[in-house]
Amino acid sequence: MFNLWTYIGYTMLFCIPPLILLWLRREFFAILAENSKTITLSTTVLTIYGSLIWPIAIHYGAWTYTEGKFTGIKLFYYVYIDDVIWWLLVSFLFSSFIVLSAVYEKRGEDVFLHEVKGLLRSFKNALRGFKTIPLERNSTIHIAVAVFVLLEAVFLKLSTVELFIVLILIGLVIALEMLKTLLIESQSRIRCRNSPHKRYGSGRCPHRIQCGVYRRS
Amino acid sequence: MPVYSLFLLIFFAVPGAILAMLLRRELVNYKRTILWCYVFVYTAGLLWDWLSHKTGLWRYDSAKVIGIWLDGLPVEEFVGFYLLGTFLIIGITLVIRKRVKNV
Repeated sequence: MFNLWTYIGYTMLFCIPPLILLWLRREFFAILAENSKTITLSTTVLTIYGSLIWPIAIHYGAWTYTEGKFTGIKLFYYVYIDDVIWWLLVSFLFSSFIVLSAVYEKRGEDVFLHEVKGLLRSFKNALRGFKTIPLERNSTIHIAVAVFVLLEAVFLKLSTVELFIVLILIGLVIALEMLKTLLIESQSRIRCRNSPHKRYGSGRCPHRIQCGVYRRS
Repeated sequence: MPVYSLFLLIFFAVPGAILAMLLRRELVNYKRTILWCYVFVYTAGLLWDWLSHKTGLWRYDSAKVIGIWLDGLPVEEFVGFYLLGTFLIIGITLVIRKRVKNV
């Protein structure tokens, strides 16, 4: 796929995204930075060990690389730089995860399950947003137009790429409509909270009747 | 001669056994961490390995492995490399973590 950079390319494809997931989150970063000495030392030890033993396996033919799919550059005339990068990134990724997970496990939590649960909650909340569609006049118009456009796309035999562009644009319009609903709803709630009529109780506040987005349309 | 198995035995199994002895208590305390590492290795790691093999990045000589294959990958890869290799990484990280904390 990447010709000479296939080996390094695959290594980066499988290691960089999870490393970003681990290191970019502020909550995780604080723990990882606190344990940076352990991570650095483990990565160094493992990379040196791996770089020393890998050429032995290749020398005795445990496995072989295909010419033209790796750089073939040797470090100290001994180990391929591709192998060193593999060990460096794999050890760094695993050391980071092990340290993070160990800290969470000591607290009695499971970092992976914690993340999965949070992710599922986010999806659940995102799906709840669709409930606003039938309550809004503009959203129902958008859905009707979207169906019309999709039917037209089928009749006009649009290509796959064109169809994807149409779907992305429909998604964007609905998402922005939901965002607009959210902003109006938040604004009306704040207005109702600050209303002088609140002494009558929330049910009798005139703003809630006038500004409430669901009743407005 | 099963060169690959011998390589795994010498460079992964022996240090792995030493690490297991050093980390008797930690291994029980961090069983979820270890479990998730293996889950990632046997899912994403396997996909990576399979993809590299299918695209011809690396090949295995049938004379240098035991001879049991799973979709082009030798059984040593699943039993030896994934199991022992991952344990080596976990072990070294946990040993260093223990030592660094004690300093």
